[in-house]
Amino acid sequence: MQLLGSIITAIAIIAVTIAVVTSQLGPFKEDTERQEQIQEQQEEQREDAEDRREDER
Amino acid sequence: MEDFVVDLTRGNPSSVKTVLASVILALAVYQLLLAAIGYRKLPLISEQAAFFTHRASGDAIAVLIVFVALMCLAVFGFEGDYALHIAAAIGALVVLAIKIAVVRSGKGGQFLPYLGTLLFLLLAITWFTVVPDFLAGED
Repeated sequence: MQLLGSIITAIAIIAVTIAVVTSQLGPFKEDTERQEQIQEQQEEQREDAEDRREDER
Repeated sequence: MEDFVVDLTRGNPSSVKTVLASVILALAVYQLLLAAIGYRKLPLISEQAAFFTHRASGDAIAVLIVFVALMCLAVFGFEGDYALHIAAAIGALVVLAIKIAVVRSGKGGQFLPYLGTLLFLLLAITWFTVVPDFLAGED
């Protein structure tokens, strides 16, 4: 029973740590390549949307 | 395995590992205090309560150590720049396994204080060889 409680406590510590760290940092803050990819994708989407708006005029 | 860890930590494995390693070290200091109380070096609470808490906390630390070790191995592997970190971590896992075997078998109990102290030192070396650099933004 004590062992089970300790394992549950350890899992809770891991879950809380992951939740707190990722909520503070946001997704993929360490992986700069992935971050750059996300930024590029967002810029492309923005440009596409602007192009479409201009075409409609 | 690497993808699983990266997805689980939403791309922040080093940060999660750093916090968990710091939790382990803090709990290891707590373990030293409880052991000192258990061996009547610090008369703060009863020895029985201190040893029960030491055992319960130790089981939780063991799970955390194994989780962080697997995480570290999956994402970083055996990088040559961190030889001391890797050696201390492997040493800590070996001492932890011996300590668990001694506790479970009930034989060699006289070695437990030495094994515990050695385990604490190895955990401290493992922490100090990576975490300060990471927190300073060098990693």
